[in-house]
Amino acid sequence: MLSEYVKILTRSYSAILFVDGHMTGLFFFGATLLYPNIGLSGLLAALIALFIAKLFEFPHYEKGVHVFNSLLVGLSLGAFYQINLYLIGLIAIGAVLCVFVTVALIDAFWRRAQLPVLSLPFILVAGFAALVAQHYSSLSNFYIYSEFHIDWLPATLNTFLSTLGAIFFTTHPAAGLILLIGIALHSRYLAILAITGYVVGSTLFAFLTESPHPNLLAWTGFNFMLTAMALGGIYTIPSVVSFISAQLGVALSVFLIIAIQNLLFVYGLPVLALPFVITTLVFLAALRTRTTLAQPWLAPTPALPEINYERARLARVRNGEINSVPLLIPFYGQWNIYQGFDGPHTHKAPWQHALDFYITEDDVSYTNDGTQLEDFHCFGLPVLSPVHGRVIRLYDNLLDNPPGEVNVSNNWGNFILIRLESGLHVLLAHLKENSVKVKEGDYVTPGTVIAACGNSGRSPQPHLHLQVQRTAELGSPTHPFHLSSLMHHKSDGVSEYRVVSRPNVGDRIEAAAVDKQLAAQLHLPVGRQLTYEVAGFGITGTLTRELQVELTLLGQFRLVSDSGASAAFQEANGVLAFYDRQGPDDILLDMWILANGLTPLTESAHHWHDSPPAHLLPLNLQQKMLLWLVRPLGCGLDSHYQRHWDDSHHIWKQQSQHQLSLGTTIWRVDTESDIDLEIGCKQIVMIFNTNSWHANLVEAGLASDQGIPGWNQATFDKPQPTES
Amino acid sequence: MQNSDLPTDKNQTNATAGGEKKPWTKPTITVLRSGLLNKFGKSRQAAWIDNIDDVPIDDLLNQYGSPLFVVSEKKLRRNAQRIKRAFTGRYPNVVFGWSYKTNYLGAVCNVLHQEGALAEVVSEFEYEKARALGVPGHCIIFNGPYKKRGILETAIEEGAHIQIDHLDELYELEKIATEKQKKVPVAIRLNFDTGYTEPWSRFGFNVESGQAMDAAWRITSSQYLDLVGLHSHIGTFITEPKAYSIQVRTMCGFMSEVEKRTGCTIDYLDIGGGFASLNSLQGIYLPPEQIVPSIEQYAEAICEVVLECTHEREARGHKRPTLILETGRAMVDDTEVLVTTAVANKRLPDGKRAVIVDAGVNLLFTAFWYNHNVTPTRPLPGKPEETVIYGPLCMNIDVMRYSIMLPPLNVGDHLVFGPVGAYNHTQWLQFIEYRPNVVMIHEDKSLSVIRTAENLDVVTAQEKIPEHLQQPYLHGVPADIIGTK
Repeated sequence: MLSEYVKILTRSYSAILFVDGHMTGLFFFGATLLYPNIGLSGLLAALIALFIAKLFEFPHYEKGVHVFNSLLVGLSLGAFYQINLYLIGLIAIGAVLCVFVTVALIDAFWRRAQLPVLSLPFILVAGFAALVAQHYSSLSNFYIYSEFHIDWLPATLNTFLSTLGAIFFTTHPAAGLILLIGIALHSRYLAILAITGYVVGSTLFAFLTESPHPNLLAWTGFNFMLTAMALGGIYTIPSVVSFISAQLGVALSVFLIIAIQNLLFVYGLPVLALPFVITTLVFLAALRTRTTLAQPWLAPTPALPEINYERARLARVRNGEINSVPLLIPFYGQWNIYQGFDGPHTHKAPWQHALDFYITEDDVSYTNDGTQLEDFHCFGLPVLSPVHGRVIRLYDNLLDNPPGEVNVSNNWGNFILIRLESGLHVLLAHLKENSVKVKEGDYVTPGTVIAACGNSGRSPQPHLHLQVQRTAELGSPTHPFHLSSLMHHKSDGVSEYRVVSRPNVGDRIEAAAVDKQLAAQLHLPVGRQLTYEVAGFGITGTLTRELQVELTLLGQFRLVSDSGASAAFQEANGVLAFYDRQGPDDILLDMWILANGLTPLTESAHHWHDSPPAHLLPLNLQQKMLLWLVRPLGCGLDSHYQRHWDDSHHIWKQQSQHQLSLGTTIWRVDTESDIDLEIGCKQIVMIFNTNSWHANLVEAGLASDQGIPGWNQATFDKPQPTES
Repeated sequence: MQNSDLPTDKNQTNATAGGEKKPWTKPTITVLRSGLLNKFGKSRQAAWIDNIDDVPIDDLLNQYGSPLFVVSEKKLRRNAQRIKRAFTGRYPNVVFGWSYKTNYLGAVCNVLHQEGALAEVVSEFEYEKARALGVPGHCIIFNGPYKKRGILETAIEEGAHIQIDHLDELYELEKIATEKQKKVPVAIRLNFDTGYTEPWSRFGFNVESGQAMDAAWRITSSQYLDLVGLHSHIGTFITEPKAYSIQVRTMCGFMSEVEKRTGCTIDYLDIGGGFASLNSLQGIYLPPEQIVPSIEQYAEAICEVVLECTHEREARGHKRPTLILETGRAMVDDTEVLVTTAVANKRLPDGKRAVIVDAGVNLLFTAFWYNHNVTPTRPLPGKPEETVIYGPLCMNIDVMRYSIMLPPLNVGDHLVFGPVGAYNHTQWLQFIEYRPNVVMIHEDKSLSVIRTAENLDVVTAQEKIPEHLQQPYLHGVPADIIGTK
């Protein structure tokens, strides 16, 4: 229990610099103790905040978000005043107030604008505390302005480190050094952002204020670093554009520092991190309103830049674009694309992200003479929901136009609008009169028949219009999407499987049927335990290792190795897909992900392409260092998969080639996975240069749950491990 | 124009054109009819056709002789694609079984297999024919009330989908499965009353009486049998799509019931065939264009109900059952015609005109129940008159059309009978005449003979003549027996 609270405390220390780690937090705490007056004030505030958050059971108190703002309040008061009984009283009140302000602001900010509160609660409370303290005659000022510096370091570096330390109100270069190392251990990119932000900010600051006092720079300059880190890597996807826009944010914060300094000086108030908070919130709020998919891209959830980069990279490889919405095909059978994205007729900005579907046979969309709606191939065919979501609007009463006529007063005709969990909406339009089978408020799942294809609205011939849009208004700007797990049928009779696709005019597509047996055997339910025996290079004898499926609190499925390494996966839209590999190196888990990381659950998928992260490769230390140097943000492999049915062994053989080119160096790993229709992935072979690894499934089971006994079963054709 | 005009109109226009001297036509007497419409609707026949898929009929006859069956591969593929589209656009997993008994000419079967159809066979011969064509066992649906033990063993061995018709077959199957120690997945055929058609209660197990549930119990309690499918076939030439709605509703109801009670999982529903083709049944007055539903209407009636009835299945973790269709007639009937030649004209004592053509009911077995379209291959001058068309057989029953309005014909004129794709090549007779060539016009307009005309060797190939019957006359060829000299 105690260690639990210690963890929350240390996490709140590290959270101030956007990183997450108990040890890092502990070091940061140590840094604050360079001035015990400051460090102890901070600790006191943090303890009180933790107590209050726990007492009132505020949500997510265990993450330390409520604590770090109070911690900063304590640090700031400790930096200005000597600890005495009165200050302790002030710190306690400030810390309590700060918890309430934080909880209230988090809720209001997120609900209204999906913005973080950052350290705004601290700034408000610390400001008020400073005003209060001005009338507290019993407080004596604490002066630390005697310039500490490390002699053997150049002056500029001393100033830089002191400035970094000032984030914790500890303007000691040694503190700054500890913080910098702490940041760099978690994310080198974040450290680089902090440094460049400081360079850009301080240069501009010097230019605007001629020669600022080093103290002034130290006490305000950390705003540059925080702004650069937040805008360049935590809340956006790292890229050249986001780097430049982060530096632009730094420039704005310089401007704000000077203005706020002059404004608050009158009241004797410190600037604190207010410029950083204002700049970051303004930037994020403005970027969120954009409809374009141009850079800089906002991260779906704030994370370290390396993680953001990897998520975005995988999303782009697998989905074409980051933030593109995956949809399933909304019909049965083979249909053609009538109009694609940026279509020539009606798919123009801001409605450029839309697909029109119809059916043609020998380039003609009807039988007989095409004068009746019933002559058209697609007329009256079922329309399916392409997503999970709630029907929030629909219209069902418009007549279908005779072929060739359009109804421009009701462009969309009969339609169904489905709201997704993400807040976006899916529109299906031009539906057949009185064909809608759902009601407003119904929750629909992919594949549910919801209407029939019709010819209502601006539709000269029967077709189905599909788009993702931002708001619930008809005519709202559209949002990019793509279709998942489908077959492309070519005119020469060849069919090709695609994991994702955004089809073009004239393409003929069909939903890929999920193979029941394949899906059942690769299914990974919560608690599934797979025990493999691994042999190969670097392993003496055999290594028995177990993978188990766990479900996180937020509903994410993860395959967790007993080494602690884990990766998230999804079994949706007819594909098993792994992502977000975390934890230490693990030869079995990495082999598993390389061999099965993207596996379509459809029989007709013969070859496909993916790009798993390069750190899955079984590299030695030298190779890791090379990768680390050449691709600091990480990179993806060029991976080709192919699969065929081996009739003699009754297994699916899934082979893959993973390649990475670093200049002249080319690394290539081959894997082969045998998927048995009785027990799933029973064998994996991996070859890298002259080294090879084999993993054999020796046991499959299910962890027990309360009231449900577990089970496990040795695989049939493998000899039992006798020695273990 | 040639598709809508009555022959009479065409004839009149021809006769008065250009003010030239009128050509002589045979005198006729006709009932006065007013304009295009009569009480039976619009005239439904083309006045004449001189080509099939752009291949001139005269060329075909010159090359392959008369009479001649002509199959259009293009039309066959289009039909298959249209039927497939109609169903796959309305239901996620649909499979077609080509009903061999409708037309088992190898070329026709393989066109349909290439379009994705399984083989639906009902006898040892059909099973072996499918295998000989290269269809693997697991692509064969084995139906019918009589499956010999030997072929049943082969079917089990080769993984064919067996649909049980009666209890004795069930016992036989179980015996074989037990002997082979092999788990055999099977389906049972159901019969029940849809209220629209005569129930075909002679096939399969009755649902209403509980017989079908008993059979299901019997199968699911067997160690070697697995109930995985349900089959029913409600009739033939059914012109009311609602009959199929009732059929699939009943089958889905039975499926839920049998799954609930016995714990089996039904993977497929085979709903048979019976869709009508655009052919005119004798005794029905309205033209088929008015009474025969489109394939899309059948598909809508079936799929809407299956979707509705299986809606909850996916939520319960069961996949929606595969829908198997055994569409025969609607697939193939209108892809083939029979080209004949008039060999004689006659005037019957009741004043009716008669024409004798060179193909009879020996080739066109379906003439017993259809009034086929009969179309000349050139514009016929003269007034149409009620005519009876006889075949060449020396048998009273050999009537190709009892009554049709036709202008006078010359000997050597051709008449095209259609649609004739369904049930003729499987039911035709080698009776009195040799059977003629069957040609297929491919999509690139090239031609292949897909069944060569018979000759004496073919017809007598199976005959064995005992030693003492080798000679018709034992004591030399007799002189004039009748004695007319």
